[in-house]
Parts: sequence; C-alpha cells; structure tokens
Amino acid sequence: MHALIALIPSYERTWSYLFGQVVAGLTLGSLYALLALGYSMVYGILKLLNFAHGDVYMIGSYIGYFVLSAFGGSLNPSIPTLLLILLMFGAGMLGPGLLGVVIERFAYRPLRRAPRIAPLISALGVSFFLQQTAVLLFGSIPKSYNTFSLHNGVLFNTITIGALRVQYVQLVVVCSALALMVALSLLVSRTQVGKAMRATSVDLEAATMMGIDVDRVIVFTFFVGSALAGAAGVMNGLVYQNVNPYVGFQAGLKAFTAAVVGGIGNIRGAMVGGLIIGLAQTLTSGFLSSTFQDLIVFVILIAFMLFRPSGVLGAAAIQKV
Amino acid sequence: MLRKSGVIAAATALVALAVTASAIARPTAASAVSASGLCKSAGLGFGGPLSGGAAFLGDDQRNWMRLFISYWNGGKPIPGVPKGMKRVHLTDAFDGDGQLNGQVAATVAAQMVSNPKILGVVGFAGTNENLGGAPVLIRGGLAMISGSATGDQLTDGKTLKKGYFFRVVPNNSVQAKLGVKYMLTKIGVAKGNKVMIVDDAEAYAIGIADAAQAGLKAAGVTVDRESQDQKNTDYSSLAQKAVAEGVKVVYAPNQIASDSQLFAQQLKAAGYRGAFFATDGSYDNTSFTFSGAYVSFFATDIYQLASVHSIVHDFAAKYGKTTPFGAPSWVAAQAIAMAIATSCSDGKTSRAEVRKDIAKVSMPKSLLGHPIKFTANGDVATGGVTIFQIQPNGTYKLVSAG
Repeated sequence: MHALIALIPSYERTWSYLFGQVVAGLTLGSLYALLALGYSMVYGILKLLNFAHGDVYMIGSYIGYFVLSAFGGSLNPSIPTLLLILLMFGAGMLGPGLLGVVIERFAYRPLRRAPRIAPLISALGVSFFLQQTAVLLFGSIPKSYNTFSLHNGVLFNTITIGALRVQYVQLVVVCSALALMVALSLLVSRTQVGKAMRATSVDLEAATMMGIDVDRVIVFTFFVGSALAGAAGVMNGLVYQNVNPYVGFQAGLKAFTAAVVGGIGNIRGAMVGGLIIGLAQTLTSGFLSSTFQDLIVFVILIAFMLFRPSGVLGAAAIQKV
Repeated sequence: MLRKSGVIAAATALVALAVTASAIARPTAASAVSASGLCKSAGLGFGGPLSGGAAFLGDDQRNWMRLFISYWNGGKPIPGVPKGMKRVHLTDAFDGDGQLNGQVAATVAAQMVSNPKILGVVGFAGTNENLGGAPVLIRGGLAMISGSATGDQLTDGKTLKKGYFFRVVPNNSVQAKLGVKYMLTKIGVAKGNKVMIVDDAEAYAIGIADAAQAGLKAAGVTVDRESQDQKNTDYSSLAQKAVAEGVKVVYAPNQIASDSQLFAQQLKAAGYRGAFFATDGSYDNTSFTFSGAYVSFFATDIYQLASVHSIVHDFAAKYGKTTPFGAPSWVAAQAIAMAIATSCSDGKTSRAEVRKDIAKVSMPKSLLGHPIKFTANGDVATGGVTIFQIQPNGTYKLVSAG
C-alpha cells in the first residue's frame, strides 16, 4: 500500500491540491449540469435529443458578451459589477429562452408526428444553422469577456479556508447553478405548470385528454431549458473567457453525456451527471494527465450505456408483456 | 422476384465500384490547356481555412496572395523580383477552403488538380491540411508553397514526395530548438528543473512540443507533457498542477492566441510565478497580451519593416488590418510567379517545369526582410525564428533574433 502511495507525486498527496481540483471540477460540472437539464427536460417530454441545445448555450455566451460590451466592457464598466453580472445573466437567459421557443415552433413542432429520426435530423440542422449564423454575424475570431480585467480581476480573488482555496467567480458559478437547479426542482414539483410538465412527460396523449395544453407545456419546457443553457453560456464567459461559434459543440456533447449518465429524462439525474462529468474531467487532468480528460468522459458514457443504461438516478423502463 | 432483386443488387454494386474507382483514380486535368497558353495567363490556387475558427488566418493569407498578383500583373516593383523579369499574367484561379482539416483539404486539392490553368498552389496553411491535401496535389503534379505550415514531417522526405512541397517559414524543429535554447540560457531553466509542455492535440502543436521535449530532456530538464484539445478552454486543472509541481516554464504551442491568453491568466490566478512561453500560433498582439509572456515567431513583424511600409499600407487600404501569418503568403506566391516566369523563357511551361524552377528560386530580398532560398527538402534556407516578450502595455518586444 505504501509502495503504491509512494508512486503518487508528493504534490498530489496534499489536501489543497485535491480540493483545488475538486472545486475546478464542481465549477465545470455546474455548467454541464445546467446544460444537461435542458437535454433531460426536452427528452423527458418529447423523447427528442435536442442537439441544437449546445448552440443555444453558445448564443447565451454571446449575448452575455454583448451586454458586457454595451456597458463599457471589462476594462471600463459603466455600472457596478454586481448589477452588470445580473444584467448579463438576465439577457443571457431571456434571449436563449426565446430562441428555444422559436426553434421548437419551426424546427420540431411540425415533425412531432413524424418518425423519431426526423426531428433528430432537424435538430442537427438547427445546430449547424446556429453555428454558421454566429460565424456570419459575429465572425470566427473568439471574443473574450476579459473578466480578468473587470475591477482589477476581483472575480479571481480567492477565499482561503484551511487547505481550501476558492475563487469568487467559482463561487458565483457554483452557487448560481445550484440556485437555478433548486428553482427548477421546485418549479417542477410544486407548481401547476410543473405538474403539467410531469404529466406530459409520463404520457403526452393522456395529458392532452386530461385537458392539459401540451403545446404550451412544451413551449414552456423549451423556454426554461434554453434559459438555463443561456445561463450556463454566461457562466462560461465569466470563468473561461472565450466565446466562439463552436464553443457549444464540445459543451453540448459533454452535457449530453452528463444527461445520460444521470439518467436521461431525470432532472436530478442531470444535475448529478453534470457534476460527475465535470469532476471526472478535472480529476483525470489533475492526477493522471490532461490527455485523457476527454477520453474518460466518453468511457464513462459507454460504461453506463453497457452496465446501467438508465443512469445514476434513472428508473429502469417497465416492459409490458 | 429474387432474380430481379439480384440483378438490381449486382447493377448497384457495379455502379458503386465504378464510382469508387473513379474517385481514387489519379486526378487529371479536366481538359488540355496548351503549354504556350499558360505562358500568357497562368493560375495560382490557394489552400487554407476560409471558414471555421481560423478563417481570419486563411482570409488574410489569400488577401496577401491577391495583393501580390495585383502588383505582379501591374508591373509594380516587388522586393526580390529582378527588374528585367518577363512576368506572366497571373490569376487567382481557385480558393480552396481547407478548414484546417486534412480530409476537406484533400477534396479541394482534387478540384485544384483538375483545373489545368493552375500551375502552383499557395498553401496549404496548416500542417493538417497539407497531410491530407498535399498527396492529392502531388499526384496531380502540382507544387505548393506554404506560408505557415511548420510541421517537420512535411519535409522529412518520407511523408510527402520530395520536390513538391516548399515553405517560406522555418519548421517546428527550428522554432522549438530556439525556444529551448532561450529557456536554458535566458529564462534560467537548469538541469533538474521542471517544465510543463502543453500541446493542443493538433499536428502543429504536437510537432513543436515533441521537438521541445526532446531538447529539454537532452539538457537534463524534467518535462511534464500534457495535451489539451483546443475545444477545452478550462485550463484551471493544469494551472493548479503547474503551481503544485513548481514548474519554471509552461511551454504551450497553441494555434489560438486567445487560448494562450486564457491559459496564462488562469495560471496567474492559480498563483503561478514562472514563465509562460507560447509559439507562433499565438502571435497576435490583439488577443495575446499577457505581460511577461514569451512568444516565438517564424518571421519578423512586417509592420516593423520600414522597407515594405508602402506595400503594407496598400494592403491595409484594400483589406484592412493583417495578421503576422499573412505576409509569408505573398512570398509564397512570388516564388511560384518567379518560377513560372523562368519556365516560360522558352515560350511554354508545365507543372513539372514550374516545380523544378521553384526549387531554384533565389530572392536576394523579400517582403519578410530576408533573402529566400529553398533547401533540397523544401525548407527555407534563410530566415530565422524570433522571440518576443510581451510588455505591460501589450506590445511585443524583440528579445532574441535567431
């Protein structure tokens, strides 16, 4: 045992290093969790994998950037930092939310009774459309939030509690994501519209027969899911700075993995899945090598598909005989 | 019914076989253009990323090629072109969007090969593109000169057939060697110290990283070799590792300057106090402005060359601001143009002749501020790598000219 421990480099055996990697993983995982929620919600109701979801996240990132620029940018903001960030989140959620509604109306609703492959292909088409539109409108050169310059990098100052070091921006991201996830949970479990969403996800036709306006429920689901993706996009900009038209592809792929790992269609599962994927990535990078960080994510996906396809919190499908 | 299905299946298989055979057959010119006709008007092809994340780079290189063509056709003075040289009229015959992707580059290469007017190609811009597209150009007899592809394997004589691929910029090994030398002599990296090398999982960066790793290991320096895909912009994990390991230098060849900026910033946020060293892919004083960081580059910044101010000014008037990757494409186009002019001295030319004459091109001076000549394997024989250090005001200060 001692021989095995001795193989681990000395710096990796410190609590501060472990905590640092865990905090980085939770930050990244929070983004994936918010994105995964959108995948799970839409799949739960429509049994559709919305591959355009990652690009809605990208649009949210751009909206946050443009709001930041409109108020003077990071170097010279014209309003207090807190208000600026709130406005970025507000616009970054509203815009993508409305975009999600438009996408549902024109790309998916006409195909609701078509074979399942049709809306899937439509989703891929929307994804490419959004990417290339972003290239045309915003250019292919990455834009930077440059939050390192915002009020002398105050967001990147750290709080130290013993061996734990956390940057303010990481705290903002994790707490915001948690708050949004809790709000969504309450929305789904405690409100009338949440009840309608749950009913629609169980059986769409039965929900219609019970008098639920499923079209409205679906629109609302897309709005909420896309708004969460937009929030994740703004968080991406705050922490990781760079926005480009292709930033949604990789994030969408990882978030989809998170949704599957957590249990596709399960909201709490999406949250758990996101955190698992984020932690897996950073811990692999920190303790093994960054070369394997993407590999491990997809190994986890394959492992879950093989051994636990329902995911961490998903229920096994009931087969009627 | 079964017999009918069998006939249809067999016919389909035959058609598929015919299509496949024609696809892998040697690409040839669609129609003959006379050898003498090409001496009246010849075409240049361009290969580089014209869409996608690196489109700004491809656009810039293509614009420099176009500016060169306008100067050449207009009889304007061009550094390195002899006054008496009889210029053949040139056209920008084809813009091949390689998207920095080998498979896509192969497709556009086939299109260029099938255009009989094209006598040479400026490009491909990226090493990946050349790995995919160059073999197709070679099969079609076309020579290519790249203004930015620095992968060592392109001129090793094994990956690509000799005599077809040339470049006007030094290769990765030269850049990595100089970077290692600078780390050891100026930054103070010594035997027993640790350096972290992070590539971006692309052919360009892996090549430089491999060369740097070998150089550092030979000097007794411990190397932590990491790799992070360009699409992953979370460097916080690596930043913490660099701090925990106590590395003296983080050497990060990366093709995206804003990623280098981000990585350097995340290192600082994690408490890193060592040096950050990027390579030519990150040479961009609008996106990479991290004070104290080092950047190696394969050419001189032409904005700093007084002798070519008028040409740079013309470019700006026509196309706007340029990147440091653009101007070498002018020189690449010039080398092909001079080869075409030389081969047309007897009134006729061909792709094979142009190829042979490219190898003999010698410019006593060029837009890049130094002479241009090619070695036997296609590398540029002259010109060196420079190292800059980023100043607090974001400007790049020359600290070493190799």
